[in-house]
Amino acid sequence: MSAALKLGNSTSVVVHFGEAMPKGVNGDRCVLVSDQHETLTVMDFLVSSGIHHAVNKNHINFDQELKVAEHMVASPDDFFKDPATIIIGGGLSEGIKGYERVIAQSQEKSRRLSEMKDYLATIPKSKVITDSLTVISDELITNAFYNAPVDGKKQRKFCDIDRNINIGLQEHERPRFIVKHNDSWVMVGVLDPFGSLNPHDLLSHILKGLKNGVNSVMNLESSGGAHIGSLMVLDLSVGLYVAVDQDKRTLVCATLPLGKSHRVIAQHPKSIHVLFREQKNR
Amino acid sequence: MGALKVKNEMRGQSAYIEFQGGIDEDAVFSNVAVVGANEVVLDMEGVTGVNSCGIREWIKWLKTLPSGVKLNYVNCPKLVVDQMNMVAGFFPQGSKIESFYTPYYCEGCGNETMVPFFNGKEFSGSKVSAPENVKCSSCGEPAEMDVIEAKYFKFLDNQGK
Repeated sequence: MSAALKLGNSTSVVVHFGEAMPKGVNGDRCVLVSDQHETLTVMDFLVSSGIHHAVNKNHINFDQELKVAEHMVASPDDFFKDPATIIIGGGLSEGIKGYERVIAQSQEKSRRLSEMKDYLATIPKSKVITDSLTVISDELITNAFYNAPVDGKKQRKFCDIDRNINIGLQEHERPRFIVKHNDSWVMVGVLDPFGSLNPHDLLSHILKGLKNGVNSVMNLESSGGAHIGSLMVLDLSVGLYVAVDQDKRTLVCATLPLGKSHRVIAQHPKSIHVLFREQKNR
Repeated sequence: MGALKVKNEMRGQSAYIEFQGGIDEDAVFSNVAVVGANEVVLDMEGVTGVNSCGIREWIKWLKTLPSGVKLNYVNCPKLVVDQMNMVAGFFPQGSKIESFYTPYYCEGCGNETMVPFFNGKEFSGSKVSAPENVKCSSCGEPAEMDVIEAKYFKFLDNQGK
């Protein structure tokens, strides 16, 4: 049986693993609740069903993760505006610290990653997750410069360019790098003003890599990116949050817990959340 | 991550190469000389990060090395071992590893202590004899090995016999 989950003015449908999607319900309003630990199994179900949210019963913050899904469905604009409050604050901004940086050119990335590492060093019990957060942030920033920018015809401008060529963006095109935390979680994210990411394509790409191995999706020969960044981000994080306001903005965030060992993090089931607001008149 | 610095020198028939910094899109390997070497020792101690583009550049570079040259990895930090396990070709089949680091975790203070594992001591081939009594480098309390063994030591199966 599917259950309804209500928060504010919105109702989402909870689908338990192995159940069929309820008829007449869109996947973007569904939350898959499972006890499956295999990311591949969960991702396969998400891609084939069209469900946008997956939360595991054994997640450290199970209730909060359900609320995240609800918030993303009910208040997408709030999510874009302040993702940390929703993702790690459970809707409350108290106790959340951190910073945001607008990045003008891709060669700034190194400096911003060093800055983040220095900042993380001030947070107790963050040493275990610093390397992972650095890789995640690296991939998200790279994506915002080389994959996100599109021209007036929605063609990607820089996706085939080698990543060691510096890209400078106009003020209105620049991504925002977000580093936030409370006593239990660290969230990093990147917001870009293009909205060019197709989350379904992203999940399908990740699924292919999970099914057939990282090398099966890796771009070894041609120019452009290596095409394995998204797999690395998912592999290293405990929660992945992808929000796309088509043609307007894309926000991708990832979370890791503080004070947990590598072993706990590696075995922890992943939450995956997608918000996709399509342009109807495209 | 900081630009990758590469220092290489010939030690007999071995090219000994030390890396310092991040293996990323800016990493340049084309000027690393291994001519005449029958072994390439890759000292990874100073590697501070590896991103997706760096993984690709690394694999592409290894493919350019003369066939028959033996690869020997030393002082590999966890972030390198993770890539060895994740991406085929980062630690090619038949390579050797002399030493790598394994994290130990202190439940008391949350600190991570990196413990070096040496060939012939903490591991031999793909058999691992992990030290049990490790003290936290911060508080001195006992620390526990903090990896999923089947996953973290998997790359050892790739070694040359």
